[in-house]
Amino acid sequence: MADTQINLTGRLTVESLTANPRQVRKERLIRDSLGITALISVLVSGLIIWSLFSEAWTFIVEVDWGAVWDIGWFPRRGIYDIKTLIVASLIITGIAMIVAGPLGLGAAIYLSEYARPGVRRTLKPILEVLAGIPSVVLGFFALEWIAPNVVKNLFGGPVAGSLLAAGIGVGVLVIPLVASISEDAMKAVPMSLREASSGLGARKLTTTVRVVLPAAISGLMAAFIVAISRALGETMVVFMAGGAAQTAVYTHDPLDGSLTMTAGMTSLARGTDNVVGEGLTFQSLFFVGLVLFVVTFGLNLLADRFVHRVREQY
Amino acid sequence: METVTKTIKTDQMQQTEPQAGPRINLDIDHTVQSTMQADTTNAAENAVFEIEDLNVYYGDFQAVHNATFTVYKHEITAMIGPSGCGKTTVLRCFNRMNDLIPSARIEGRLNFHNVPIYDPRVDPVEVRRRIGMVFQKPNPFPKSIYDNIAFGPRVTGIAKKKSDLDDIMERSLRRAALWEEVKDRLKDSALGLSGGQQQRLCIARAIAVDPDVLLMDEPCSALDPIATAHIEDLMQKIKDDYTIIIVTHNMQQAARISNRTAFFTTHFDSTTDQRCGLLVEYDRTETIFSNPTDERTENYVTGRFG
Repeated sequence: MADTQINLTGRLTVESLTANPRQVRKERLIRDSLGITALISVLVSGLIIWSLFSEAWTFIVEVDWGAVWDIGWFPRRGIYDIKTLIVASLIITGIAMIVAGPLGLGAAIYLSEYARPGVRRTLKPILEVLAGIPSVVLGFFALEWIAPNVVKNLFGGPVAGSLLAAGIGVGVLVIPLVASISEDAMKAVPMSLREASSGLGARKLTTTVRVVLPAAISGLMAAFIVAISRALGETMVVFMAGGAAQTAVYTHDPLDGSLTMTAGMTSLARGTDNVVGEGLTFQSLFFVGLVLFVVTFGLNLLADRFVHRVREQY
Repeated sequence: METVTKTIKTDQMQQTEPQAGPRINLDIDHTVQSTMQADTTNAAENAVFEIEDLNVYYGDFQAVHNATFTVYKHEITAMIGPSGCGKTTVLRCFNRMNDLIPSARIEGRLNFHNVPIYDPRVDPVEVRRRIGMVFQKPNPFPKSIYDNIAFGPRVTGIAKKKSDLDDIMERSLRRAALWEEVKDRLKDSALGLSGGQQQRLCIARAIAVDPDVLLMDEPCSALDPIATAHIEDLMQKIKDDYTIIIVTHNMQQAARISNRTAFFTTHFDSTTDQRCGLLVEYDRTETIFSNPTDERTENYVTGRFG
């Protein structure tokens, strides 16, 4: 019986089971070319990191460190106060998370736990479209709408850009990110846990707060970390609405204008003089980039750890 | 429909011990038979659930058609039948669990101690606090053993003090025959327990809020025979305090542990091309297994169908 099934062309030999050499060559070719594409992306990443490190290294070695801890960011005049940029970045990220955290999480809870299937089917794509809005559009929105309407009228800040206006703008930008990742994390919590909870006489809110959110905590943490690193790396909104163009005096008042790390780099890299300044101006750009890279890379690693934990559960 | 009403009537009039059917060799537990003798004489007073013309729909699909039967106090009522016959759907009506499914719709009467629980004024949360549920797959919360048991008492507010909670903890775990195995590791994650232990934990969790009824949806289907025997023992021990309704795929299990059995089947309506769950027969368990009225029941319990 078995014999008749295999034996298609006479007696079964090793040769009749050997693959066609052309097929084997084709397979190998496909495998190798796919491998090369993967290799190229790795190489490019490596190249970026290498150029970042080498130029930043020149800055670290040659700079007068007194100029790195000074009154503000005036790179063309040899004053590279990095804390001005870091503090501005942190303030904007903080404001962004104050905006996006509750709104994003609230939206996620609504979509995952409360919304009827039809509502969810409509709202989720809208949310994802929101994530695709170019940040330059949001930059204009922050400058032309948030600054005069929210920052000036509610907080008595300037009509023009400020850290607060930019922070709120970045917050709006990352809401979909927080909502989408949090919603995925909550949807991944098995229905059986919700049923167990309702079966014990828990109300929907109790089930959400005491069962679903704790079970989804790793995913929620990941959502927040990814959002923070996105907010730290956001450039266009903070550059347009941050309230400082080329230079910034150190400030920690959200109503003032300042430059974040990303905005500082952008302002250096643009303009007709193409970063001609004193001595290390060009290299300072890479130094700031390196700081930003290390921070966001660390945050992404952290987020990755959390995402892995969420996969291991239940 | 005719069959259903008829069997209910016979059931209520039948006060004598039914004859043991010679056709099937069944190992009916002796404890079940002895409690059967002391069975209710006043049926209405002992009714926990009275279901009349219950129809359940999921959207356009009718899952259960005109089910009518009564569940009695301190008995184990089994619901058996092939897959898709609506027995789990009926079980989930008892504590309004179907409310969690947006498309589900219920018609007919379902009284719990004479209270219509589908009355618009009734809060399903209050119903569920009185009717515990154990699910097919053990579903402990990803929390400690202690927090699993404490969840219900904390949510319902029945345990005000830590000492109350500790009492409930020990009592529920003892009743679920799990105390000895876990008493030294209450703070450990419940997910570290074996499947059978997890299911007993779920039973302990359900009885920690001291419900009136325990609904069990194929509680042993994910367990090995030893764990199953544990759970069956446990059910016999606790049924004097609770009323138990169990859905099971295992006919031997229904025969071993239950006092009454409801047999459901899938009815195919060739005119509308729709199938739906139908309660064929409801009677004392030994009658269902040894001397059923309906041919479909007989075919099912003798293994000729389903």
